[in-house]
Amino acid sequence: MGTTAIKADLREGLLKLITHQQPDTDKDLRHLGKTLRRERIENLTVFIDKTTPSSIYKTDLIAEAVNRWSEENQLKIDIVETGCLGLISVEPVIGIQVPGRARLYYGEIVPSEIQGLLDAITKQVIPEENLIGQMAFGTQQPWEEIPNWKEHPFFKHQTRTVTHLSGVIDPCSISDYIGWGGYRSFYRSIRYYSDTEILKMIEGSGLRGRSGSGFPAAQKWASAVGTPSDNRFVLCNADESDPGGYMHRVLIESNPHLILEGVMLAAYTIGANHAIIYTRSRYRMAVQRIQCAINQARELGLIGQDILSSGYTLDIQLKRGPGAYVCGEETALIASLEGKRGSPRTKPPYPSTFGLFGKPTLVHNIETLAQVPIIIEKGPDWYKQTGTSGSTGTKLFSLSGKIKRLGVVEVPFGTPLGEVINDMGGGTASGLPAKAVLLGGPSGQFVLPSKFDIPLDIDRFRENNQVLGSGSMVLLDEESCPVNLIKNMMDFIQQESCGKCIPCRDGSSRIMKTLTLISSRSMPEQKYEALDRFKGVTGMLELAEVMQSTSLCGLGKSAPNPLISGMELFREELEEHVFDRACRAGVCMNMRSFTVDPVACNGCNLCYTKCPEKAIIGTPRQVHYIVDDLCTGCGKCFEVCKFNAILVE
Amino acid sequence: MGADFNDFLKKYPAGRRENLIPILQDIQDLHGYIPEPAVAAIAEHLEIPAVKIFSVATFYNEFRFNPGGKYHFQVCQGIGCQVDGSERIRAELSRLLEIGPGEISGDGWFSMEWVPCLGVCQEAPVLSVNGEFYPKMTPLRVKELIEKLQNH
Repeated sequence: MGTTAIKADLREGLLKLITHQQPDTDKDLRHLGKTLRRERIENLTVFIDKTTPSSIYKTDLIAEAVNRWSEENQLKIDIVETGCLGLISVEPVIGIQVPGRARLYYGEIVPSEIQGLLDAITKQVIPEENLIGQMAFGTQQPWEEIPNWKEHPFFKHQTRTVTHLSGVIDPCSISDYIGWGGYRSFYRSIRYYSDTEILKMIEGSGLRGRSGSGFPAAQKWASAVGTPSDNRFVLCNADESDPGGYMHRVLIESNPHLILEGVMLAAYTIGANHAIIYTRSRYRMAVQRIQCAINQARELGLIGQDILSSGYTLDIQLKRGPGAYVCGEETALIASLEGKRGSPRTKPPYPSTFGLFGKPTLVHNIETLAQVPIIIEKGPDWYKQTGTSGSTGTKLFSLSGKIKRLGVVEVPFGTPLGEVINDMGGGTASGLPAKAVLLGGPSGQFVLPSKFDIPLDIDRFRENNQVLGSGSMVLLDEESCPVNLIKNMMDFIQQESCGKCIPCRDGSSRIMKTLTLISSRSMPEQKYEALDRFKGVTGMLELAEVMQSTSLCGLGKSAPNPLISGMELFREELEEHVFDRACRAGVCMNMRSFTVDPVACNGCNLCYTKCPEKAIIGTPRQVHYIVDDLCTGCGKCFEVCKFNAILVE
Repeated sequence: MGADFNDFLKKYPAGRRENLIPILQDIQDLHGYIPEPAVAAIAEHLEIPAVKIFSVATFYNEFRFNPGGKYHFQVCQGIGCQVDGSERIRAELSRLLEIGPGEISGDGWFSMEWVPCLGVCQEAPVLSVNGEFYPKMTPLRVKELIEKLQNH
């Protein structure tokens, strides 16, 4: 991958597409646009989804199969690597487009199926197995009786504004993005609009931060502009450290130029000459794609000195985040960029007046910035039509857990939660009743199925003292244990707490300890251990409230949210863990109890030899027995038994 | 070894602390870990005490001070994987390899770390070995995988 250089003969055309008043009126440009959008193609083209989740399926083998077919049939085929449509549960997704006809998307493709698929499609027969739908642009002729991809239940109720090119274009190609009208908002802004005019547009659109707090973007921007300074910074937070979410990574990998344009617009508006995009180092593909986008934009003269003869100078740098959840907090992020530990500091002064190196700094997450080019392109009034009056526009959510259709969806604010979970996500994968949804990862809360009609709106959640969060949704079914999940999230917080404030640092480890104790079988306790455990349970809620009210930053303040909402909603299950020492979902692994099925056991003696606690008694060719008092519930016997003779309760 | 680092550090402006994290990242990319002589060289170059470098490097998940094993296991800690039982995978790995996260086995073959969401939630729980994904893991499959790697 790396850098894809822009061809010299294309360069002029691309610049014209960006700068021309109405490119549709010019015959050559209209033509070029069609070619770049791949509306008009010369050869059969295969689009292969190439993102982190698809790489697990060896998409290289699919490309190989396509090339082999092309050689065998003496037919030239172009292969284009695209981003992700969002429907991750049917990866790998490929698109096949015959010249003049609409593009067909297929999911769950294995390399051996490629031959049959291409054979059929070139003979104008459309196999319907694994078909997602067809996607037609402009003058392309749609296939008859083939459903449109928008009719697929996953896509049907989505409003795709920031993801409208995800999975459609080649993310490593600036010409694809420009063919779809990219960088025109930026050019129009630096050419015709003053900073106050753009600020007015942002204010009029009602854009709010997508990171969870929902702070109005225009206020931040105005405050950065209003602070006198010789230098300002724009900081794009693409670190996405929420362990339940992956929507930002999918967006970066699918359309990095959109994010870049958002950053450029924000930088121009506040008068910044430096912008930094901060992405998690572990997201290797995302890092590559952003770097590639920056290089291409620089090559075309969209970044650098005197951009498109406007007199405006901007430099964008990519910084790799070394991995810390707390760096989602803006002051911690700034500390990290200054080469320090990522500890948050007290606010005010806010970063918009005193940020990176003491200069006014605008910090936004990528989803917020990705909305900006769209607002400029379509206007604030158009933008306001989607969403609710308080929260305008759309929001990305990532669906995971025990859900049927996993993936990233984009819906308008105000869409009921149930619509996302049941209509788009298709409910639980197992068919079992849903237990709850964890909304917003380790800083979020549980929502019961009876409350699924709640609209996804920042203000509505705030009224109920809840947070909408970053946008991760994890579905739990009857076979999931909320106590275990809360414990694991508290473990995560305990590892990720920066350690500055005592309530967060010690509170999280204390809660974690208590939850570990109540999610294991009864063990011999000495001295005050039983009393300590008891105190831990009774004081847990109070401790959580202390953490909430006395921690400095958002991490500590919101860390007890899952615990507090879980204790309220799953009181019965929690009490079962405390009093009966039982986990009804059978998830808490230290709580399982094992017995031997006397009929199935043939006395092979394997479990006897493998038990680390010597809790199994028995002689060869005799039925074995597990001594419950010695058993620690490690489950070793269950795993080694070849005759399914160990029963789990 | 120290002289090598001095040459390596020449491309970064001296005395600028904001370069600390990129320098550490580049060294780790090159060596797989951060060797101790490098810390001393960085301290001199950036004019900050070595203890500050340790303080920063230990704060972030990415950096480590010992070389990784021949096979580096990454267990996804994402919520999706947790719901599907990644805890058992972690326990099984720790038990079989007798190492904890961030450690390396005595023979230098295996090392392990727990990482945030790898983003392949539909195949949860996932395990990655040297960047290659192993989907839908169970404790039994972990055992088979380790045996396969040991006999490789």
